[in-house]
Amino acid sequence: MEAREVKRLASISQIGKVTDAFYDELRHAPENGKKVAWCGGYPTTFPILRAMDIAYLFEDVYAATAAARHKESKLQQVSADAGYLPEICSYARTTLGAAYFPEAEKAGADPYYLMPKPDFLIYADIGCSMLTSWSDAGRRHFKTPMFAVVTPYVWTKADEQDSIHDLTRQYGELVTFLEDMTHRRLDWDRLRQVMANVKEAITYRIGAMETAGRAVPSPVTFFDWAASIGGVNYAIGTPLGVELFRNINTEVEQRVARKEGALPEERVRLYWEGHMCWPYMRWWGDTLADLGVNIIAAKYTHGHFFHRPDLIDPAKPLESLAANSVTHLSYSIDLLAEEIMRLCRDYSIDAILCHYTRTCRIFPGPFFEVLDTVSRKLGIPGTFFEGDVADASFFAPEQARTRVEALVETVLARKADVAQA
Amino acid sequence: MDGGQRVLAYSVVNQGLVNEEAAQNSLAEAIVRAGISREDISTIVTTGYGRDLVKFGNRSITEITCHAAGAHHLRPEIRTIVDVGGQDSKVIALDDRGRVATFRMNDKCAAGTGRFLEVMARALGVELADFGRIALQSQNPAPVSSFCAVFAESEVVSLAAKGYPKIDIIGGIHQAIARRLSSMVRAVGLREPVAMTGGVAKNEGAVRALEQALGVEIVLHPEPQIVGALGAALFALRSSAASNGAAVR
Repeated sequence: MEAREVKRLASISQIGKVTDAFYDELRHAPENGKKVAWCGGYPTTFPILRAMDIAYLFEDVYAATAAARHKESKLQQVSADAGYLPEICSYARTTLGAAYFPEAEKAGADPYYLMPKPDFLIYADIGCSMLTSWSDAGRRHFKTPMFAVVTPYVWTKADEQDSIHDLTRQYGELVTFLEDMTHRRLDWDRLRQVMANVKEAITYRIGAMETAGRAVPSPVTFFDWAASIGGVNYAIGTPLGVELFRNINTEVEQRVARKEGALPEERVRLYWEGHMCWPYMRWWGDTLADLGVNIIAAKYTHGHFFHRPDLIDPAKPLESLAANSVTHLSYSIDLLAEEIMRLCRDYSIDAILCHYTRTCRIFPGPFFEVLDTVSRKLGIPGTFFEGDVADASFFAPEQARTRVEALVETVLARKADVAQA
Repeated sequence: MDGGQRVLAYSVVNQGLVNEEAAQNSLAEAIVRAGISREDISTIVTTGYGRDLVKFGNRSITEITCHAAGAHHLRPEIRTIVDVGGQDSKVIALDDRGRVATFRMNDKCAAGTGRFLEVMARALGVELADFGRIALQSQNPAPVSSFCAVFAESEVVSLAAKGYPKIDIIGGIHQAIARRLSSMVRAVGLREPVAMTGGVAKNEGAVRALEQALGVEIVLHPEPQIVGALGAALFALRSSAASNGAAVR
């Protein structure tokens, strides 16, 4: 079957080069006299690292990028050889593959596998017990210090301020930890400048997603938003990051003004719940385009990665980082369902598609409750498919296609009923 | 199916791996049985795994939508369909117009499918055709906890080693698949009447175990394997009528 042509954002293509440059710089960080941190969980610690000239490997995104570039299986094989079972988090297994990569195989290996050893580890936790033990395993393996920022579970909106207050204290302690590790003081003016860049870039990013989400047809596919995450992880806080998202926002506004959709025909608009299915991103892009389906919003792209530019005050960097650490991932089921319903209403969503990540217990945990709640309250259908963030072996394309196609048929039958009435 | 929604003929073939040749053979056989020629067929809708592989079809529709249409056509009051085939199982909730309200499918592994029963029958050295009938004779089903065909096979070997009679192991296997299916039904929302379709609906042991697990009587069509095809034929008839300018039901 020939895939329909999708109009990708031209401005997104820059992210591939930014990604390559980031890893190239990271590999050379030790010889350039930079300390290296391996970080898991949230990207909200990065502005501080950037302000202190500390190079970082974002472990989750390293694994995701490996899977999207089909380089994950070698790393997962290395971690399997080290004893990690295939049912545990594939992000963890992929990154631990880089940690355990055999010295004897390094000569001539793909440079992507060769990450510099960390001087210390940082993880910004979202209640993921796997992230804790995975970071702990890294700490033992590399024999380095480790620091954890833990976001409390947010039961109600009223709890949010308490969480931000607590997280602000933790970010302050992180600064002390990093000053101890580097034997240098944080330049607070520099951090404020970094945060000003973060605010500007994220304002463009969230603005572009909002504009695209409200437009019918939408000028952007989900896959461009997924790719744009690279701009957050690899360029956040820099002038390049600002330029990147300014360009994306401009292109989106231009497309909306021209009423230009990303798909040749946008028949159904979906909300995607759960992780990306990184090993099969191309397949998903082609399959959904072929069915005339556009994913308009997702928890991963829209509720994460600095989602609240309005709460960033460069004069108060730690409070701003804390506010952006309270995301959809730390929300209770009620808050999450409310937020998804808001997006479904604002963006004229027809149905929900949930990616049940087989090696993750945190993301899929509330799926049933959330889907049931949103379906009942908004009267929109939804379905699940099984897959994984970074392990291709858990995904069956034909089964997934049948589910999405059946969901599309259900939505179209309802639309036909409405049109007939 | 003719213009009056009468089924003229059908053919069920075991195709092994999904392939177009099997579909062509099945079509050829159905044409002979119906006593018509290929040219008499105006529209073909394909469904099921491999629906897009079959190039002689005019259109493809998923088995979920087709089973809903087929079951609704046979019994308009049906509100829940449990379709268990060789490769997957699904529960489909229907609205009062026979449209899909929601659905749930098994996960990637063979748990809760006909393949699970096939593997178990082979492990116990029993013909698949006799499997369900033997299950009905069990007075004290053995505790089979695994849904996974691979784990269940080793569990069955352990049960046999512990001295459980073969009849009770087979009874336990049917209870295991019924538990799996009943969870899917309850997740979708149990609404009666419940119909069962697909090849496993021919297994009386599986049907009885599911009835017990759900506490409801299950409606069966005499030929449960063709309900999806029946739905596809109904869609073909609508397409054909629409292209001829006739009223579409």
